[in-house]
Amino acid sequence: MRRLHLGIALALCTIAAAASAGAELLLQEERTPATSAYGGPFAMTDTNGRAVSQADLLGRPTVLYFGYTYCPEVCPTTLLMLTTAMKQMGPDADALDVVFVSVDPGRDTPEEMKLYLSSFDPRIRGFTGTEAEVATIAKDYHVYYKREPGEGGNAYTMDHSATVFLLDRASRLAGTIDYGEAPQNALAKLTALAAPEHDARAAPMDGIGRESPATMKSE
Amino acid sequence: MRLPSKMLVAALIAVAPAGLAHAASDLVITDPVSRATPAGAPTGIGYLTIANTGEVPDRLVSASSPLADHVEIHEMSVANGIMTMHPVPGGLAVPAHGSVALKPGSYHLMLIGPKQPFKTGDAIPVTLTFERAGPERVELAVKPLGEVMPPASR
Repeated sequence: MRRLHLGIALALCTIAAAASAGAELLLQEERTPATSAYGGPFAMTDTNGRAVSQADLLGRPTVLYFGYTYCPEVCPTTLLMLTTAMKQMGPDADALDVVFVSVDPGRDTPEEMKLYLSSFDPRIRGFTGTEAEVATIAKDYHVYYKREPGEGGNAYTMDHSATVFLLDRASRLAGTIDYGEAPQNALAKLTALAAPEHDARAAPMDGIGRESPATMKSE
Repeated sequence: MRLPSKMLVAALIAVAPAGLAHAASDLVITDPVSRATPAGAPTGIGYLTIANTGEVPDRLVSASSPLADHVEIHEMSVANGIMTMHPVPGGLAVPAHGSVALKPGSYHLMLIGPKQPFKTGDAIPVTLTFERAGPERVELAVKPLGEVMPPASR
C-alpha cells in the first residue's frame, strides 16, 4: 500500500515536473524561435473510424481534453462547459479543433464515443485507440491516467488529468483550463485561442505553472 | 444483536404504510438528485444528503436501483489537476447528530449500466441500505446536466 502511494506521489511529481518543464519551454520560446511543439506523434482513431495523427492538430488551435465515457462527473461537466462556450462563441469556435481523447480504450469504441459526443457540440471530435496508442498520446502530452480497480468485473474507474489543454496553431501549449474554473474564464481563454492573431509566444495564457486549484474534496 | 434489530426494522417497514417507513429511522435523506446522462452514457450519478438525528452512528453500506445494473458508492476529488475516483471501502459513515453530503466533487452514487438514459424530469428509484437503519428508498430527481455542477474554484 505504501509502495502504491509512493508510486502515485512519484507520478504526480513527474507530472509537476513536466508541467513546469512546459512553462520553462514557453518562456524559452519567447526568446528563441520555436522549434519544439507540445505533444508528439501519435496514431489514433476518430469517431468515424478514421485514422488520425498529430498532423490533424497542426495548423489549427486545438483544445485537448482526456477522459472516458464511464466518467460520471468531470467528463460530462467539462464537455458541457466546452459546449456552452462554443455555443456562445458561435462560428468563431469553428477555428478550434476540440478533441475528447479517451483514456479508456478498453470500453470507449469509436461508436460509443460518437454516440456519447452526440449530446455535446457537434464540433467536438473524439479520439480513441489501442492501449498502446492511448499510452503514447498521454505520454506525448504529459497526461496522467491510471486504471483503478472497481468492485468487480468491468467496473473499474480511471483516474485522469482533469485539465483542458489549449494548443496554438503550431501545437505549442498556450494555456489550460482547470476543472471547475469559472465559465467566463474558460470562455475568454477559448475565444483568445480561436482569435486569428493568437500566438502562444506573444501572449502565453495563464494556467501553466500556476498554483493548482484547491481540492474539491468535501470536508 | 445486529440481526434482530435489522429484522425489526424490516418488519416495521413491511407493516408500516409507505409514508411512515421513515419514522422507524433516525436518518433524514434530502435533495436526492441525478443529472441527465449523455447519449449512450454507461453510467449515471446520484447526489443526496443523509442526516442522522439519532445518538448512534450509522453507515451507508450499499445501494441499488431497478434502473441500473448496479450501484457503487464512490468518492472522487480533483487535486493538482488530477481527478481520482474510487469506491468507498466499507461504505460511508453517517455520524450521530451529523450528516454526510453526496455532492459534485465529493462522494456520489455511481449508477453503472443504466437501463435507459436518465432524462430531465425522470425519477430514478434507489434503495440505500444502511448498517443499522436498513433499507431506505429514495427517488433521484433528474436535473439538466448544467444544473448540478461543482462550485467554481476561481
